[in-house]
Amino acid sequence: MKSKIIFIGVLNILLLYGCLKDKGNYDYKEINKVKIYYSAYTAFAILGDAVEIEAILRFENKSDTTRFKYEWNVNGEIVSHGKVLKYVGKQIGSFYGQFTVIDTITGFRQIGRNVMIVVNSPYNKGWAILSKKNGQTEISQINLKTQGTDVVYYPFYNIYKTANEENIQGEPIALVEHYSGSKGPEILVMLEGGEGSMELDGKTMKRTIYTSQEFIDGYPEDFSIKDVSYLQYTNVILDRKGNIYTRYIKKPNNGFHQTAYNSTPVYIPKGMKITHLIHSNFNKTNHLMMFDEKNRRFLVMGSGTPSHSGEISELFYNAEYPQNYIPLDNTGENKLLYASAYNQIFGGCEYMVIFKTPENKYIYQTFAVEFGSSLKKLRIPSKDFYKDISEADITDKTIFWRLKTRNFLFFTGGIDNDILYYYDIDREKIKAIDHFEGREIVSIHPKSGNLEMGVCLKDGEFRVYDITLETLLSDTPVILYEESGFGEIVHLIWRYGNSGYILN
Amino acid sequence: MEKLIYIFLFTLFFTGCKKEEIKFYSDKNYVQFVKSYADSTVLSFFYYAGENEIIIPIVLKLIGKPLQESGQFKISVVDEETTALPDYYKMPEKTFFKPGQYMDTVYLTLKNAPELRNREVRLVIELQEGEILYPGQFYYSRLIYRFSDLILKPEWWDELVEKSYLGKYSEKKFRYFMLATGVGIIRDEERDKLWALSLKFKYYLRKLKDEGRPVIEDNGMDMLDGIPVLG
Repeated sequence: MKSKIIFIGVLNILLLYGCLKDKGNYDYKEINKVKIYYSAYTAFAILGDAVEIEAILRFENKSDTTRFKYEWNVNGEIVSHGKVLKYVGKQIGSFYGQFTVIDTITGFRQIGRNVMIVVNSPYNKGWAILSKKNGQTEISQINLKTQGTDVVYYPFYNIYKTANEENIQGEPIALVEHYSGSKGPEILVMLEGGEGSMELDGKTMKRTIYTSQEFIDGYPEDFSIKDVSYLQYTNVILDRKGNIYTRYIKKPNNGFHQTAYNSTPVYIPKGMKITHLIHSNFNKTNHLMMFDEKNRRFLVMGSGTPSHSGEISELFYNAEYPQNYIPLDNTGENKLLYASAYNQIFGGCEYMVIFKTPENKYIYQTFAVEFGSSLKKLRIPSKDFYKDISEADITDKTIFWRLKTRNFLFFTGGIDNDILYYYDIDREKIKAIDHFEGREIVSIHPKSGNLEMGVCLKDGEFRVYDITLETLLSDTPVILYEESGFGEIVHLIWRYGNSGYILN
Repeated sequence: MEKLIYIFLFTLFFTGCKKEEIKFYSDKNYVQFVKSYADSTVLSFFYYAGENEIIIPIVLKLIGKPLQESGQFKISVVDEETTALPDYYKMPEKTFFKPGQYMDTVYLTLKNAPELRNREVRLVIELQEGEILYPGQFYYSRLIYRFSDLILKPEWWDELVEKSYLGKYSEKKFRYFMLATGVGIIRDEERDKLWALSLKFKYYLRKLKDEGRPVIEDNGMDMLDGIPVLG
């Protein structure tokens, strides 16, 4: 009986539930539809700089636009409540932004399509200067920006310290920008003392690794870095004793530090003492040329494919050298002062070399190399392969730069190494561009495109010269930019930014 | 009667609260080698230049609950399958499994002897029942060691090494490789050193050739010509 009463009670409660009054709101409100456009769908910004994108709204009902509020979100984070997004990139990378229109009465949200904000490094391209200021090694960079028809230069001083919050340890030697497959760039900062040379991420300028950590069995004894070459499948380090150390890069797209350098120096028949690594655009030329002072010969290392990368062979000419031509497989007592690649094409390039003879003559010679997996051919051009340029004001301090795409050789001269010259190879004419009157030139490097030449003076001044043909033929130098305050400058490079332009 | 039904139902609700002791392999503790009986270890003192004794780690695994205190087990020599003389080895001194862990290691010492330059010997060991630890699965209760001072093709000189680094194996080439690099053993985790070691060997042969002392294989071929590593 008791259980029957309980059953009927529960049933009653369930039935009474239907008597409750529903106070819900089921009115339909009209939505004012809006189309969302943007002033830009992809925006590029430099790290730290603001980028602006405006949301442009087209309401279906133009008389009813006051009840809306807005939201900008970037990568999921709400960053603004206005129509105009002002975004300051704090990280390098690509970010997605989205604009939302919110109806404050209904809460209805209308969302626009994505916009992309690309935040780039301020250090991607430009002139990089290695110097010593107030006893500290510093790296500075001068960036270029086109504003209308004008080019504006922006100097950034001591960027290593800005990025790493520490000073560089060691004495400055040189900078090398380099690339590995699609990775990069990185910058090798060659240093003496301290922790030694180090690699920097080319975008952030943060230190990635010390060179001393890159050898299989540790730093070779008395190792002192002189030059490097980062070929596609083989990296080469040259030390001041003339030894080269190599590492094999199996997958260039995986970056530089996937393998270590062999701690044992390369030995080839007859041994070697390398004094010059003669850099070319290895993506095209498939090789690296070297000069072996011990055996007075040129050597060529393959780099184009994994199957022959790292292989070194002697450069032989299978015909008779022209009269007076200094043989490339036995340069004798002639001292190699400078060598450079130019006219780089796929599968080879041309080279120019300057020798100082025992009679103190300066000899300019050219040759061409064709290089493939099964082809290694040395060719002497039919003309302009030998010139006596003894009239040039060349000293032991002379710095050379042969433009890769124009027939001009720039060099410095004078007792104080304070005169900038060019040698017009086609016209066989030497001309002074500027005289710095006792202020020593320590480094020169052209900008990508070879129409501007950067010049650094030891006393901390940096200049950019217009080297278009028109200006070179005129008697007045044109200085496009000058800046000082870098301390004692040691080295200057143009940062190409990617391997497509390297040494062009 | 009605009360009894309620008490019965009430008791049923609490049956889910009973603690179940999970049983391991069995109530006993077992110990066994990590390596299988089928996977014998082959080594030569030749690879260990200048070493007269090689200490071999033997890794053991506990089956069952971790021990509360050290548990003794025994390892003995299987005499009928062993050809190594007792002077050629020293059995592990410590045969206690540490408490609170599932893995432990003991060490076997193999000793070189003049006779080993001419022949390979075999040592078979097996786990024996201890006070509280018993041998585990049969295939993991025995180990075989074949050792000598003979020059044998090392296991790491595989097809890849032959094709890309050192070329075809020969006893003479291996001797010179060890002379040049000081390395005879390359463990799996050290294979990234093969490229550098092969080049070191190649540079060594080049220097000898430059000095007028080329190394010639027994078949009359210049050893350098059979080293495919580039560089």
